[in-house]
Order: sequence, then structure tokens, then C-alpha cells
Amino acid sequence: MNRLALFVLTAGVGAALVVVAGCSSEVRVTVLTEAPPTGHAELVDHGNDDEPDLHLALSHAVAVGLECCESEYTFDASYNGACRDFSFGVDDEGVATALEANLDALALPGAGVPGISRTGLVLLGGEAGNTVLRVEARGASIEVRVDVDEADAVP
Amino acid sequence: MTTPPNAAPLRCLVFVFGVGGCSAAGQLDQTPLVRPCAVGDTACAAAGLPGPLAVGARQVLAALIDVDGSLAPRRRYVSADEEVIGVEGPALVGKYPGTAAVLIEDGDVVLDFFHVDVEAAEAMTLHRRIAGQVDPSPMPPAFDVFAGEEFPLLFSIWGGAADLSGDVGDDWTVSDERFELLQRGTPRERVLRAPDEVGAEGTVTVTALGFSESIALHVVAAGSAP
Repeated sequence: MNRLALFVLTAGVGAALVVVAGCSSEVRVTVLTEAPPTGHAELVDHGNDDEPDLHLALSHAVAVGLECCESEYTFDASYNGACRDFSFGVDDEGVATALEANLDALALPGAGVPGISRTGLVLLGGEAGNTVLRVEARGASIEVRVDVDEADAVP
Repeated sequence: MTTPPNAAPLRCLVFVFGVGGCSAAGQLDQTPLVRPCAVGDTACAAAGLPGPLAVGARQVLAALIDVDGSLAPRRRYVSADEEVIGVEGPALVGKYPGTAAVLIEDGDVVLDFFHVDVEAAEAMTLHRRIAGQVDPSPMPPAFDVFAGEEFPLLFSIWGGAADLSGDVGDDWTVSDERFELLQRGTPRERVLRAPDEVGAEGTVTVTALGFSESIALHVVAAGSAP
């Protein structure tokens, strides 16, 4: 094996190790609040650990609090906490509205990363329909399919 | 409520259980809610809203914001459905039966939120207080009172089994001016003072949301069995 071939092989193995070792980042969204008895706010993952497929069933005029957590692992550092560079948006704001939420009061002493607030949003069900909530953090993002239905009508 | 199986650090899960089922606070657990209550009526003060907001009723709620890093942030109520719940400054107004979230916002940031039910009134009942506590049994249509006796009267508006909340713009009248009605206690409460004349008779009527309830009063001598 000549030197060039050895170099290529070494580089390839190194690159593969980088991937296998988990130089990765991930954004997670969790539900913080309860829906009223006549409405829905249910987040279900139809995917798997490698590829989440999040669906949120939400009723009209019902609000749900969502927290964004982020993890990132590199060779020299790791992070697991509130989403950094947090941003979000909804494709169709007639179906659902996303608003920044203040979650500081929910912070547990000693939890999370000092100096970094918890990050979250409140999603509000609008007119019945489907849309997508896009949540982004530093270097990673996640989509949540949102299905809004009419809240149970009271005659 | 379901969370994704790969997305629930322990500290996040703790909060799901921690904020559930607290009817007198916002769902982000930052806002105790207080409605106006009579002085000393601690049961009222501790209960939040006793029931859904009545259609046509107006309910003032004091949102006591508890946010780290701010002594007293600005706050504004925003209704998720103005056709169900209207907002007038610190008051919520029941407009149509249903459920809607009410957000407490400081600018564009949500500090907390809660869901409010609105229900149409179906019935009205009159009650009295006995030893400071509201007697849940409706008052009989006729009632004997001692000469000079004072006692509180109050009414409830019902939607099914729920005692509906809110100021409903009630109107109280008495057929004989010798019976006095004093506005004390909760907004739905009056203190009736019977005249000193034994044998006096009168009718007290309260009207609200299209309902009307009356009781006929007859004054008896103190010491006689009413």
C-alpha cells in the first residue's frame, strides 16, 4: 500500500469515527401544560429515536406550552439544556399562532445551564386545519405537524 | 398528554406533573389568580373561579404575576377567541358558550395562560348565609323574619350543576320600603333588614340574565318561632 492510499484510508476511517462517535445536535420539544376537558393538546411522536415525526393535535382556542431543549455533542464539549439561538415559526398563522413564552418560574434550582433561561413557546389553536411548527436552535431544528380541530361545541 | 419518548429530560417531566390541575393558577405556574371577594371570605379567595363564566357576565381577575427577574411586569389579557370571551382591561366577559384560552402577555411574551369555560345560564336560586356560610339549599318562597332582624341574601346562577361566575348586572327590589336592602359582601349579595313592625310583609325580588327569583317575607315578634 503506498502512502497516498494509506492517507486516504486513514482519513476515511477518521471521518467515519467522527460520525459514529456522535458529533451531533438535536432539538427536542416537550409539552408543559394540560388541555381543558373539552379540548386537545396532545403531542405524539410517530417516528423513532433517530428520526422523530411529531404530531400535535390541538383544539381551536386552546393554548399549549412547549419547551425547547437542545443537546449537542462534539469531541471537546457537550451541551444539554435550553435551546440556544432559539427561534420558531408557523407556516399558516391562521391555523395556529406561536408566541414566545417566559418559563423562568419553572426553572428548578440547579437544573439547566447557569445563565441560560429555559426556552419555550405557547402555541394557540386557530381555525381548524393543518400546519407545521418549525423550531430551530443552534445548528439543529425540528418540525411539528399541527392539526387543529374545533373544540367540542357547547350548545 | 403525550411527550415524545426520546425527548423528555427528567426536569421537563417534573413540570408536567407540577403544573397540572391547579385551577387557581395559570398553566405556566407563574400566575395566581384572585377574584374579588368579601372581606374575610377566605373560601371565596382561595377558590379562584367557582364555575364557568356565565354568558353575559363580567369577571374581574387580578393576575398576580410571579416572574423571576421582574418585580411587577406589565400584563394584559388576550383572549384566544373573542367570540367566546371578551377582554375589558382586567375583566373577562362571557359572550358565547365554549372554552378559550386567556393569555397573560407582557408585550409579545406570554407570561402565563389559563383556559376559561363560558356557559349559558339555565337557572337562578336564592340563598342565605347561616353562621357565615352559604346555605346551599335554595330559600323557600316564603320566609318569616324577626322584627329588626338582619341577614344576608345572595343568589347563584346555574349552568347545569355549575355555579356560574361573574358580575351579571343583577337588580334587587323590595315591595315594601320598610324592608331595607343593604349592599354588603360579595357583588351578588345583599343584607336584608326587616322592619320593627310585627306583621309587616314584603317581597324581595332579584333579577339577572332574564331570570327572576322572589321570596315573600313576614315579620314576626322576636322570641316567636319563625
